[in-house]
Amino acid sequence: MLGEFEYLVVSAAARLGNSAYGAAIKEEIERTAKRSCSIGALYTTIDRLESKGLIETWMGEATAARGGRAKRMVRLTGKGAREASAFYQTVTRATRGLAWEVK
Amino acid sequence: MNRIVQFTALALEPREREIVLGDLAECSVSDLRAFSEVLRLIVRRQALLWTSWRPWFALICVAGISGFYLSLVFRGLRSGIFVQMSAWRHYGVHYNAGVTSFRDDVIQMCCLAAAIFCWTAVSASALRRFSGRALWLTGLFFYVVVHVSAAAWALLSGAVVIRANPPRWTAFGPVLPPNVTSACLFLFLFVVPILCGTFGKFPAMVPVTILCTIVAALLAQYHAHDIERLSGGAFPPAHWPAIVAPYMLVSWPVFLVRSRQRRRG
Repeated sequence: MLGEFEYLVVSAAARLGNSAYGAAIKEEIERTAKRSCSIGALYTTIDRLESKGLIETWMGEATAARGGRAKRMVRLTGKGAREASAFYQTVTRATRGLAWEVK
Repeated sequence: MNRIVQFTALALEPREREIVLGDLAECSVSDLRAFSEVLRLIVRRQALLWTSWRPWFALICVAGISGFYLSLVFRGLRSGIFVQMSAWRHYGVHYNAGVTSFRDDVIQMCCLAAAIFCWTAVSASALRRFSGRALWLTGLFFYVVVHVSAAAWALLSGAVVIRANPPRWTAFGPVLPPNVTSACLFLFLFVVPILCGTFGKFPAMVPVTILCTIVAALLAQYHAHDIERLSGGAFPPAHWPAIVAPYMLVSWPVFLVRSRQRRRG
């Protein structure tokens, strides 16, 4: 079962598709989840997801905007998509019929 | 991105350093934010390292246990040099306690120096191999243990008693934490094998060094027994297996890991 932040990373990688890499995933998480995302949390999570076989990473090309430094590209695997789907269904089932009242 | 951030990022793996600095440059974050991001990643990486047994082995066995016994050897040498240098400086003669000759003292100090040389080099190699990127912490702990634990032990065990009032601090020369010379010597012996990867380039040096250290330790013990005999039992030596055993505990895993890597290669 994925954790909350792992789910955010997997979702961002899935949404970005072929242009998913560290900085882009960070911006996507901050935009959609409206919370700050540290580089440290992001890369340790990416490593963990990769060791579980939920994503694949490889070195991408260097760009001038990055000061000539390479990117770490990220791609969701089939297993990762299944885990994310299972997480989503679990959360949906767990919250079905609930109306949260924030006081 | 300023130099402080780039310097801090040296604590990361080269590949990860390039990726992270690239991401931070692309996000156009402030220098302070970039520094904070890099620092937090380093802390996370360091914390993850300690989930393995390897840095714990380096910290407890190499830096802690072996470092303590090495500190006793270091203290022996420092005491010998301190006494001889003091006698030479104040009276222009070498110190002779009446139980050993000057020649025996010099041989004893040479044996201790050889043991320190080999022991420190092998410990540095072991720390490098087992600590990985936690080396800065295990290395720092090793340095502190080697230079402070013998002095602390001497004071706590009552081997050194403060009787003078006020205390004569010059008497603490041999047991105090390092003077500049011994610190430099230790750092040289410790840092050079780490930077040069001596044992990686010359694997045969590992068993040779282990053998040399044991021989040096045994020779030092032989002379220590001599001192005991001549002093009529007033200065009993430490039990030699207690000195060599921790060293063996550390050195053989290094040798075995090295051999396994060679077989794979």
